Amino acid sequence: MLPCYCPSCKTQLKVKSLLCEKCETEVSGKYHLPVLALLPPQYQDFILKFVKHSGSLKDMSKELNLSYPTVRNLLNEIIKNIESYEK
Amino acid sequence: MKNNDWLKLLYNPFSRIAGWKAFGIGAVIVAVSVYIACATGNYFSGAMNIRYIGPSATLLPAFMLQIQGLLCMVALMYVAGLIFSKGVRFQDVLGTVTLSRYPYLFAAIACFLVKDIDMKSFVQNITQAATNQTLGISHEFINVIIFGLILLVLVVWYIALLYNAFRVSTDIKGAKGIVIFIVTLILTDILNLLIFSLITSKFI
Repeated sequence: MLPCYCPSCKTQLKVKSLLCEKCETEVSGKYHLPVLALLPPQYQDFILKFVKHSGSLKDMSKELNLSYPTVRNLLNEIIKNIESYEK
Repeated sequence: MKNNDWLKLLYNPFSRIAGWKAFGIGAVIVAVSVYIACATGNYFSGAMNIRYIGPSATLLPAFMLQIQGLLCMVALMYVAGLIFSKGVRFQDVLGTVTLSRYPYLFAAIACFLVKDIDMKSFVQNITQAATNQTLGISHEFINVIIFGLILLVLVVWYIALLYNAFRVSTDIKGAKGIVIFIVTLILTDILNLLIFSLITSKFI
């Protein structure tokens, strides 16, 4: 799992360098992590499944064995998280 | 299923069941409980009341009072959901609120404990005995105490279930959710009393 927060002071981490495995070129800088990468793994998993089910909450509730409103509430929670990261 | 899962199902089955499925199961349980309660001379009315009627209790008013109570609560919770949340479905509020009444099945069964006791004269006798300081522990007295304790546990369980039904179906949580839930419960009882007095003044 990609580390997103500093283990010492809990500040959000930035990407310092990226590496090409083929030619070993290294790109350095100070890049923001994508919003989706900042979400907890269980939320990322939910979003992946949600997209695979064409955004159907009904299908998601069957897959996760949860009721429809519970799945909708989970989605609302993810939306709130994303909005807070975007601020 | 783990012990934790069973416990969760007891106080929050709505994470697994909601909508029309919950309504179907809840409606059957409510119908059976109303029937049993009526057989013991009791009606379920308002948000959580049990009304002692006695041998003159009949099925039609028993069902009417229960349906009225349920519909008032569902309507108010749905309106609260529409105002304070988004994406609330009517069938989720209806289903979860109906299913949350399942502890009343046990309350209806517990009514058999006091079936043969005429509550009005029992209360009169108890009050008289207490003032004359001749209060003895009779078989009836023990049954009423046990019945009261059972009801206390069931009402607490029912309120926990009802709050979870409200929280899951409307997604209103935290302190705001608790306040709206309490206001909704109070308004349900007021609305029920208003409708009840309106019906009795018009038709009876």
